[in-house]
Amino acid sequence: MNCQDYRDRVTVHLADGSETPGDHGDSCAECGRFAELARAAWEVAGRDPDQPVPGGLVESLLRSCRRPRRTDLTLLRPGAVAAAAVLAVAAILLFWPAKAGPGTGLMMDSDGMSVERYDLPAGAKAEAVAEEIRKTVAPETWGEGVSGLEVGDGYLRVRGPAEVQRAVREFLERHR
Amino acid sequence: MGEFDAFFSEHARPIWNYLRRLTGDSERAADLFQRSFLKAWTHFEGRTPGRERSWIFTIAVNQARDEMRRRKRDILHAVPPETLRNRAAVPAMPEEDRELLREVMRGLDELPSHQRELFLLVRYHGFTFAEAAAVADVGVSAAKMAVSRAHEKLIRILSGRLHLGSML
Repeated sequence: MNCQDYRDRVTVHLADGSETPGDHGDSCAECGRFAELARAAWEVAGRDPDQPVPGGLVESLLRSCRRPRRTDLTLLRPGAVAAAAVLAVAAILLFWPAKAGPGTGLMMDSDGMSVERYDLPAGAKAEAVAEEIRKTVAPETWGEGVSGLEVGDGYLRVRGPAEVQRAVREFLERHR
Repeated sequence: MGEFDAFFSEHARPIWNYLRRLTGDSERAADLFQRSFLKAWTHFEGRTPGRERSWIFTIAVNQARDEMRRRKRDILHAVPPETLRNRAAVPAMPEEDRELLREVMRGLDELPSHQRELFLLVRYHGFTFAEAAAVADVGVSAAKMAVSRAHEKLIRILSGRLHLGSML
């Protein structure tokens, strides 16, 4: 083993213990000293403490994530987009920070339009559940395009005002 | 709690600190942090369950690389001195240690970006070389080499600090 091999192994050993450097350092004074310094440098670098994510950054990011994903936009109809945007902005301004309820994701506003995902119990047929919701939960809103309902693998994603979200949640709880 | 909420809660702080150290610039780190998590949000359904950590770090690394390409200059030349001062502002540390840490962190800033990417993953985030290599999209041997060279740079700094002369 030459000096460079030994020194590379020292680093790998410090990092994840996957290689042992061997005893070259015992017979080579410079490499022995290198190993000591290597441990010290590794330790000093680790002293840089983690810092919390700035609060404003988290809020800004979460606000962005309240918007529907690109794939969710299929739920929207052009006539409702402007009104929904106004409602969503108003809700954010009035109620931010919103408190998410049980089972809700960070896309939920306390009022106004929101997109929420509802995970269904194992074995539930998402299409059938969606159909039942369209028939029995605020049926007028689905037809008018005010609300949207997307069926996923084991979940439903609903876009609509707070009262529709609440009604969907209650419906699912009743039938759980 | 939604899946993305849980994902965000678990990974926000590591990603923030990774980007902070990678860029040496809080503003750039904030921008990359937002870009990374928005990308994750957009593609969240396509992630591989159980591999979220590597996934979000890969996104962050790629966002940083894209940003570097956009800026067309190396991060080395983009570190404002003020950032370095902020970074080393560790109140609980004795002044001598703080100065040493400041030098070491400055040394990190001067590393080539690929060495810094890999060194940070391994030193601060507990990635194995295989994991770090996958995140950075390089071979395991190349990852080991990069981390070794980065480490040598820090050893050189420490060696000079302790007035031992150049050993390397």
